[in-house]
Amino acid sequence: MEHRLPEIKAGGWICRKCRKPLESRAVEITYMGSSFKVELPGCPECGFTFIPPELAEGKMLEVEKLLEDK
Amino acid sequence: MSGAILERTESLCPVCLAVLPAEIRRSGEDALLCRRCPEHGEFKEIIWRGPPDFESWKRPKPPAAGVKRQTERQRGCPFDCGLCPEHGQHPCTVLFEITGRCNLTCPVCFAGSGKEDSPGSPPFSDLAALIPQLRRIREQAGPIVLQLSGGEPTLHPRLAELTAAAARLFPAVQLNTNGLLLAGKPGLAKRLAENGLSWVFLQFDGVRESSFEILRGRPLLKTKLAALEACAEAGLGVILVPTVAAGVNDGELGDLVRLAVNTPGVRGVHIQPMTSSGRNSLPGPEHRLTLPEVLRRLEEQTDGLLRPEDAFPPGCEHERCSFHLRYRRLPGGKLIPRPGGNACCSPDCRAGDTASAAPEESSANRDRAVEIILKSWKAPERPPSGTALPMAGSEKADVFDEFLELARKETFSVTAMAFQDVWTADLARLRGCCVQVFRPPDRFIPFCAMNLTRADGKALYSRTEA
Repeated sequence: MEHRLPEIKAGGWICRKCRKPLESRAVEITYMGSSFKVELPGCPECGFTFIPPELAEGKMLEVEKLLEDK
Repeated sequence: MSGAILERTESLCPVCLAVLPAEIRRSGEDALLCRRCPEHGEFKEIIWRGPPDFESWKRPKPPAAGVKRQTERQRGCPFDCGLCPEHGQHPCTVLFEITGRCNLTCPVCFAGSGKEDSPGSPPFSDLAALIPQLRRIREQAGPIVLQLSGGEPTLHPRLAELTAAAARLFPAVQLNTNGLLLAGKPGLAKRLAENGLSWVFLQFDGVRESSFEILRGRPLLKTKLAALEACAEAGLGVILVPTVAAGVNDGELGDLVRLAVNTPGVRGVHIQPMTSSGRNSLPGPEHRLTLPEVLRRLEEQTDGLLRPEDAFPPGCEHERCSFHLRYRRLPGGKLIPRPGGNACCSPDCRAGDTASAAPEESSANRDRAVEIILKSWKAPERPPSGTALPMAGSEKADVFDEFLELARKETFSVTAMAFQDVWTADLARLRGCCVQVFRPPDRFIPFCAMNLTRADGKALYSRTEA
């Protein structure tokens, strides 16, 4: 299954290393025994995937906090 | 006394309870709490045996600001509980002992409970006397986890009403029970769940009848399993709570974790190594199980599924009081630890490096601790029938929401709390305590001070005197 995260757009970002505009691409995320495919901005040249701050500090942080210690 | 000094603190003379300067000294891979009483001589007690190394196990926190005090300083710690002006942490869990009666007479009871109420305890069936006390706890301690305890709280004839009253005042209500009546009284678990009980702390010492016979005086495994079933049917989260002594049931920890992982409704195992308090009496120091030994037993007995390197010292209580292992539990019983364990994302990042981390703010940690306890131990909400999970790609949720929804129901914890007795009493730990016992009319006594008894058995704080 592929999922587009509606709030994340590739437009406007350029890969610092390759100087290519980022494109939306399917990325497989594996986390704690689950894998799922999402669309994230990435560099068509070097394959580097960009995780925008709103995702890292939002949903991804929430996932991380599931198992935080007391 | 020999061995490098690892830390200086204060302790007690086990004979006369004199407050003494103390040193934690290295002895090979171990650490000993050492002090000398001018009258009764030198005392050394093992507090840490083997790896992970004593010095790697750090989580410093300064005393919390804004702790509510109920007593003045008169004789000093630990005689003025509490909380007195020397105490350095808010409560995150308060024990409310609603009866002194018990339907077991365990050879190892730290509270010394028996068939009758102790003099000075509230009248057995008097709900009207208990409700104002609940309010007093809420007013003084704030939004904590309230533990209904005893004695055996399920013997209280008004427990369901009391649970409902507590659930209106506190974010979580925990029942500390031997489970006999949950197993034997049809409908009790369901009624408590309906009245707002959050989860059950179920005394569960092992998987062999011999352990129950030694620790509880009779075989109880079948009864405990029936209690588990009743809780699962009622939708209550359950934490299995073994009292563990080396040479008695420390060889069953792995099997107990396996049982917990494979039983619906069980959210974790909370291990309590045995101390020498009340009727609890360790036959000798070789039976004392320290936190690193519990971690190693878990690793050995689960074929490395539970690893010491995944364990964290606590953010709420003192660092040497507990450890925490947190997992995602997959169907089939597979446990996935928090990624990275105690390390973090890169060699430069110290976010997860507790040994060299800067001191944390204790009061913030207390609030976080309550939130995390709630998340870890409460049974997941059941969606109303016919409600489907939000679909990815819809406006309301995406793939991360789906994952969160699923993973929230699958967290599993293995924790241990090393209670102190007069032999291991470290006043720095006591002042950092967040698990407190309410003593009417309005005192909050750190758990280990409440249960501390001198070498001759006399209690520091009597349960039979007001």
